[in-house]
Amino acid sequence: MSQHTPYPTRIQNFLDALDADIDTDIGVLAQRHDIPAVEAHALAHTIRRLDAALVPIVPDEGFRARLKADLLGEPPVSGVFGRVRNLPPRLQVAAAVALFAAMTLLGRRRLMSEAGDLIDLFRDGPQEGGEVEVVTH
Amino acid sequence: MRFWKKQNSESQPKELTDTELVRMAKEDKAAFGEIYERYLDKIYRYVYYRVGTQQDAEDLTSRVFYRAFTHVDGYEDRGVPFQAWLYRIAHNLVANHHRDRSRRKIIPLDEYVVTKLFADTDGPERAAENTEERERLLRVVRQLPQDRQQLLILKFVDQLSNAEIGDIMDRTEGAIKSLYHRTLTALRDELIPDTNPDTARKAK
Repeated sequence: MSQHTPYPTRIQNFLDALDADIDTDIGVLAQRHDIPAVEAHALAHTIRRLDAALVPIVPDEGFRARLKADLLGEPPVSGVFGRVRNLPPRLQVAAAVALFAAMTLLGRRRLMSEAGDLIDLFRDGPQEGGEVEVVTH
Repeated sequence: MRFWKKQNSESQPKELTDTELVRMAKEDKAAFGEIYERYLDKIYRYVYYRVGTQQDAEDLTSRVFYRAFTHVDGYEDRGVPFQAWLYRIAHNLVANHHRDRSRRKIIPLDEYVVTKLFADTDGPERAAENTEERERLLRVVRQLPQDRQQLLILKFVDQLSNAEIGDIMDRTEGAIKSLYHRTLTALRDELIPDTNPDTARKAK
């Protein structure tokens, strides 16, 4: 970068380059834009601190749903499914997986229980006065 | 780093443009729901950092969207993009809020930001140091002139480009860059005593 370029322009170009990549080598960048290294490091340090402090936040999910309902006249979705719908997509997937796992576990337990009863029945043989009817199709 | 990740995410394909959505919302108010989903987080963040408490942020964000909802029919893209129009509503409401409350003590950003949000996993001592440092920085930011606060929040919290910030603040991109540099320099000067104990001692 030419020294004929006015200093404010050089600084702005330096800051633009930092916007693009803060993890770049500040010394090299300062040299490229002909900025004093001390100044360059101080500015980069300030930007990093700002970036760490000014974090994006999200509004409360209840507030989000209420305001939308108020604006558009849609009743807020209530109940378990309403709550799940308000969750971020990743948590919705996790909830679906958990539900599927729970259903599978319950189904398996019931199947095992019925199979156990059937095995017991065959092991013990037909009760006196009773008989096992085998149905074939 | 969060701020710099934005550069890549912008290349993702967009669905409807703001202009198309606004045109739809004028005919069918239900289409405003899409605008709401697109901008709620951004406007809320902006308002939150300007007013400092969740309660006020929710109140003012509601007003922003009510106003936008009722005035969307009158919106015409005459060089001011819809996003900038929405932020200007937010800015005006925040300014009114501060004017109304100018006699009251301004409450710093509520504990949500400085404690829960910044609770680190590096151990309690380190977390306390980080929280303290961030709290101090946020305090300094909130002492800056309004336009500088606005610029920093739009740039770091809402991660807007200099051109988008220029649209919102009704300034050229060059003017925004210049203001950004002046703001950083002022902050750096303000924060130097923090990082250099010798300087701090001399300053006293």
